[in-house]
Amino acid sequence: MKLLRERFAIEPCVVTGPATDNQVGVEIIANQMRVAAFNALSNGAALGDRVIEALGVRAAAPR
Amino acid sequence: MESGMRSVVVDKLASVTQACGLSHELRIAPDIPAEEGVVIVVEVLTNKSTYNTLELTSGRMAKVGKGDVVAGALGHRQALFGYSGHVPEQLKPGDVIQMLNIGGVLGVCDSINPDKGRPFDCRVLGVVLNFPYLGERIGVPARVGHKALDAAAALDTRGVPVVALAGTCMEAGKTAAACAVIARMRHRGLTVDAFKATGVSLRRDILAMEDAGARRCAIFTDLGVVTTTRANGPALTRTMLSELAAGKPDVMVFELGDGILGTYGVDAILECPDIRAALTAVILSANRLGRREAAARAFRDRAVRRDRTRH
Repeated sequence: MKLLRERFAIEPCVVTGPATDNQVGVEIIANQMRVAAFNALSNGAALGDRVIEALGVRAAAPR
Repeated sequence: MESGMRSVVVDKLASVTQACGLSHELRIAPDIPAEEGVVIVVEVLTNKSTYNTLELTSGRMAKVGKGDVVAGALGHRQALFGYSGHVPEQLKPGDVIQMLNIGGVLGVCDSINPDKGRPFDCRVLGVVLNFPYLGERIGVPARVGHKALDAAAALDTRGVPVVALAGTCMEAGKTAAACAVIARMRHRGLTVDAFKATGVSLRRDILAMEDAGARRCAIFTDLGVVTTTRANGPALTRTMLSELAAGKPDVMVFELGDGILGTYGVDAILECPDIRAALTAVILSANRLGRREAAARAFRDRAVRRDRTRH
């Protein structure tokens, strides 16, 4: 996160990966880094919805 | 190039050679240009019990064993959790090199990962020839890719939103995340094209993206690159973004293989202002939080809460 923000001036819209494997990791990322976190395997739909929201594209309503 | 030319029957065509459209009966020659991307035929000399498969041009993973004759391509690799190796300065039939990844990248192994065991040793048989001149029996060394990369390629996303996935290192869950995002976008009626911009040639990730619902997929190997670097990463990314955008998808998703600080050129891509400007959203795929980091954060949180309670 620090590298993306400070070296590349990139603000990720969401964090995923093994760091989000449990709720502790999700909360640490959300609270400490101020960015949404979702696990791709256990919460893939929410991850996708967050990215669609960040893009601002018109998409069909979630099922 | 035709002196010493002979036919050879190949058991397995590695996925790195996919764009060459090779058959299992090939013409090979002994004068091998020791250059990245050159397609060669080798005979596997060893057996191993782990990391012993090869991705074929079909996408299937096939078990490899001693005696298999394989068509692969010369390339280098510097993997954190795999092998490291380089393209030798010279190469001739009879030389022994190693299979550096499961996509069929061949080179001299410099360093191994104990989890993967020693790589397959392979005896070089010759360079694969193709015959591009109609009616003439002039063979030229085959090279990977549908076409050569244009290093000066311009970037034009035609206003298509772009999602990039970057990771803290390899095996940080980037492909799983890309597939989840692509699948959700497809379920919500969006047309998604996808590609892999960096890493070492292996089609597995873009095949997974296709399975998740991506309409068109691409990988740097299609542009003649076996292993990406800081030098070619930005041009590859511009080219694939522009080419996929021409098909007018609703969204483009691409994965930056390896970590941000690896040697495959992810940092060079993210340093380019034009590419950064084209990124509508970036997903960071992070490996497990270090125990020390998590403990420090938990301790700090508790201290802050205690401090607030006191005041």
